[in-house]
Amino acid sequence: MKSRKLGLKRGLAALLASIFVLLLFGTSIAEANAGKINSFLGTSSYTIQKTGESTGDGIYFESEFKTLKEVIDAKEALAREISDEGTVLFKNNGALPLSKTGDKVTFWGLNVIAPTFGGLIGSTTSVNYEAGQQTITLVDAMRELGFSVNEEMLALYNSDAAKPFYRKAAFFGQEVPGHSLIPVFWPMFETADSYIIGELPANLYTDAALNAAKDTAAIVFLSRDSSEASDYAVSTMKDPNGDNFERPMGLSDYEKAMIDLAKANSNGKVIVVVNADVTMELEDLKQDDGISAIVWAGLPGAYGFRGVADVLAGEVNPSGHISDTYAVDSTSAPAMQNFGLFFYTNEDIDPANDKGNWYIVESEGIYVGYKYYETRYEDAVLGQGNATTGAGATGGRAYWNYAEEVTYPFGYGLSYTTFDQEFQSVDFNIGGESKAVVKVTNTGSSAGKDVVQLYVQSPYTAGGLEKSAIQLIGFAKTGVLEPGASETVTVEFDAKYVASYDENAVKADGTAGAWVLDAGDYYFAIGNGAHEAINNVIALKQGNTDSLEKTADTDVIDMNRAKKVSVANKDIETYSVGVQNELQDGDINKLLPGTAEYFTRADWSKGWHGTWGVTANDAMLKNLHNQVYELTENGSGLTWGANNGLRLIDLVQFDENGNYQGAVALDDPLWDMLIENITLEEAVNFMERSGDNFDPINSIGLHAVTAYDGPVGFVSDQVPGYAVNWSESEKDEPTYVGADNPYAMWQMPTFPTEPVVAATFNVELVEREGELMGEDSLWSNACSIFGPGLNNHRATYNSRNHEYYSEDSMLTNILGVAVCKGGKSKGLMMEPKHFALNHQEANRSGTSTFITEQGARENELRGFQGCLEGNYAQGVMTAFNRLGTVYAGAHRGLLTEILRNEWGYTGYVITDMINGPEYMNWRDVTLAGGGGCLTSTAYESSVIGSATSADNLKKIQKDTAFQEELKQMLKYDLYTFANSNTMNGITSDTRIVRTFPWWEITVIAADVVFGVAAVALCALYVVDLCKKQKEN
Amino acid sequence: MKDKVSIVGFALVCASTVLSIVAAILYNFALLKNGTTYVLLVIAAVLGAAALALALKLGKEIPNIVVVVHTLVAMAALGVSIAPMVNEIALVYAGLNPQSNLTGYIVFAVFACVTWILGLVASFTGVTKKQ
Repeated sequence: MKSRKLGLKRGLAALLASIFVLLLFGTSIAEANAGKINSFLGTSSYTIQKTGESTGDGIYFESEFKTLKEVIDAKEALAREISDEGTVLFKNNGALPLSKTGDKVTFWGLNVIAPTFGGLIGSTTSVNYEAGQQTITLVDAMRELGFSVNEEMLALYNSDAAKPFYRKAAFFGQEVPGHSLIPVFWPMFETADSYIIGELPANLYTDAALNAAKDTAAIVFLSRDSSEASDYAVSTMKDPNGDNFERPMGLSDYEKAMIDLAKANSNGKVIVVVNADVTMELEDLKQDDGISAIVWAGLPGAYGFRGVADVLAGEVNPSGHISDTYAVDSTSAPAMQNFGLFFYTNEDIDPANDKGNWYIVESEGIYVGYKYYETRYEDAVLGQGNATTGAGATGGRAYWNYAEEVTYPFGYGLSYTTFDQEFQSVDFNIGGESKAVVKVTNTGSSAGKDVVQLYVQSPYTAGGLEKSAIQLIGFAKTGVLEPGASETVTVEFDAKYVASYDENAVKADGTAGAWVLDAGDYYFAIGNGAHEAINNVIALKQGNTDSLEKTADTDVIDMNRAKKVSVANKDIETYSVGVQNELQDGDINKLLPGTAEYFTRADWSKGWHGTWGVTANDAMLKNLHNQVYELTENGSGLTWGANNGLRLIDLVQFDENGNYQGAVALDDPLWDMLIENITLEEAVNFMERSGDNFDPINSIGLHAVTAYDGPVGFVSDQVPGYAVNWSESEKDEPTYVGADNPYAMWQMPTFPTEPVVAATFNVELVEREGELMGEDSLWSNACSIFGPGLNNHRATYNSRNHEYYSEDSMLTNILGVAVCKGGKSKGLMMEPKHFALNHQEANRSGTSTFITEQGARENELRGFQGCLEGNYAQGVMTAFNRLGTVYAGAHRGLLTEILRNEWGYTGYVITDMINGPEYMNWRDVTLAGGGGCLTSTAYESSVIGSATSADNLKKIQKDTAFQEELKQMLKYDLYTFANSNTMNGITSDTRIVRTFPWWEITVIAADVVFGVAAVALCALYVVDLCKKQKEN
Repeated sequence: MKDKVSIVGFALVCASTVLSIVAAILYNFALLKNGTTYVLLVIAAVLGAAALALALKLGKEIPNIVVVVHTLVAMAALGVSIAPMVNEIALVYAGLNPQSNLTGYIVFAVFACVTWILGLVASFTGVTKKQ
């Protein structure tokens, strides 16, 4: 009996101790994810307390609004304005604008009842329907304007017969209408095999719906969705609903049949509305006389369809210009040769752990988007570079002809009125300020805005440095011009962006790599898009318009719209101070000579094949196997935990009136003193747990700093409402939103997606968008946003292009500056992403992106350069991919040499979500200047473990070089925070106090209960055992 | 006089020891592996074997205590293996990683659980009992 009791106690002790062990691990995981848990539960692990010694209110960035409702109304109005100006009119035979009184409309296309408003994850458009928030469809918007709508057709689309054909997908366990592409986070995935177009078969259209459509204007709604972590596939996708298409960007059989029905059952007005950020193939519709008009709406966010309706109804005159080239064949761009899944032949690269056995070779170099089509066009016209050979020609033709390749060129867009643009002058100053002056006159009959697009052609020598025949260098938008009215517009531009990067140029200091302005003739041109501009240049060069092809009848070819500026001497120094080659390890032909055939103007017949079967050499394999920096004993260590009394607030400056003046200069020695107060453990923890919530640093009075997705506003899965980030202790702040506010749980990501914003070509409007994102920041108490997305649209099959502005780096550059400037004015830290070369979502984690340094610098990096060089952006997120074989977030050439040393960027750097802790490891990231790691030890490396583990802390204590990088990172981070609205509410008497929310108390209590119980039972067991032994 | 071996307890610890080795092998096929898990599983196996040897050689209560430690180590191995998987499991649960293959990890986890349960039951029964 006694033996049984002993066994029972022994067993129970084992059971309780086991549970205790499990609980300890659970507690550790919960603590590591405390930020997320707090965000989900609306709790906090820290409170801000004041001792009462300071009289200041601590409000350094103030809202321009008195109530949250005013913010919401302003956002809604701006979203409409962006779509008013970002909706692009491609074609119009006079059917538009529609008459509110004369035109009853029939909506065609099943997706019209559940359109795609935005992307998924980072750019998910979301509203809180339960709280009274609404999205506006095009149908809603047209009704709001007073249009009479064919209800029979809508009834058909809402009927049970139509439901099986809806485009919808499951996301976070919920049904998401309007989406077929679904995010996949596992770093590798097979080629996507399914895409739901979301259209009805023609035989399901009822007589009632068709009869009701007769004598109405047809609005044909075509839609393609977008998503993070997913890509379109060219040839493998099939529609599970029985629809067929050659390519997902082309029209499907059901869509074609539906359009035929619309043409046959309308009053003759058939207007196509394109709800897609990817470039659909529209050539057939353009050529079809039965199609009256084509309007591009993009993915316009929660309220943007009001802007589309405004354009259809003529409430505003369309002034949008498309930010990508619309090709006849969506796969005809050189980039499509190397888009998708390419694998190293090495068999010893483990895809799961190394995350490195896939790559893409961007063999197109600088020839992305219009820089390919328009350059090859000029070469075809001028008979050079084998441009007219059939290589790369659409449809396998034996010749290449621009008119059969491009439907709508970059920058194209029509209006209901006509404008004359008189190119008055251009002032091109190398090393100085440059500008062009253009007089715009409204020569039509309705008021409207016009865009002046300024392009440049640099002198090119056959076989020499690659040059695009035309590139956007600047733009400006007029105000509303009444018929007959004129406005003289000045387009300012920077000559450094005219320069080309020559990695073989050797400068006076002996270093290789320079920004080059060749001697010769520079042609500046204006035009409705890149094609008009290049035509104007060629016309001026050859003195006539012979052989020049128009995109549309409305095109104007006028040599007076181009001007020549001659430069006598080649310049490789002016824009090359501190510049040298930094990205040579990204060039596959430098690593493995002869591997890829690059596209070149010298011979357009080259490059038309993918770069398959690359075998990594030993040096590349070291990186692909993620060889990690070994912490070593070096130097004599640095000072940590000095306790000199300095706090972050002490480095904030105020004028004599107590007005906030930002932080002291970055080179002020006070920063070093401040950072000495931080303990090494705090510093390491801060580095490892940056991102969604930067952990607090109590020793210097820094509270938790919040940062969330994304480019269209703070995403709802991270900040589900304005009230969730506020605590009672902050209720005295003027922008505090309590749970009792009627808009407390309204959601924020409602703006149109970036291609729509880009199409406005309106810097003021984009800056205003940044300001209102800043207002959201002030009213939601979230200080940093992972946006804008500034990668370029390398290939249209990248389904994340909706988060990026354009295929053009200058348009991206200028708009990036504008939106970040707006956000910064409200203290919002805007964090452009993904730096750099994140050009496809398929296998994005660890993909080796190979590109020439010229290609990287002139396209992708130039898009980021403006806002980072000007420090309008205060954070930057690195990319998932590798640059060459080195992880982009740990590429020293990119992050320290170019970003910090060349551009002088002073904001913080952060990784993207740690999605492979072996290649995105904290040691290499820190050493390369990659800043903090987004998220936490939930992603702990299995090789080197957590940075805050006792073992690693011990090693870091001995590694002075590593500590120096840590201190540098902290300096940039703290300097940025001190210049942001995260300081709102912080005064000299503010103290950050650790508190324990209910879930933490529960977890700790469970640990204690089971720990004590296990120990008690163990003790009882031992006592019994002793007794028993005595008895024996 | 040493205690006699409990047939049931001995069999349980035998099975548990073998399973901890099997779990270690299976862990090789799991996602996001963690070196500590291997080490703990090997320690668990060694402890299990030690308990059996001590039961045969020494008898008394010591092998029973070793079985308890063996059980705790098996549980620790399971706990350590979960940490790097948390994010992955969350994504799969949310439907975001439909193609992520968790089978390897689940099979390992089942074997690790069974190892622990057998050890736990053996902790109750003991590998030795009074003559």
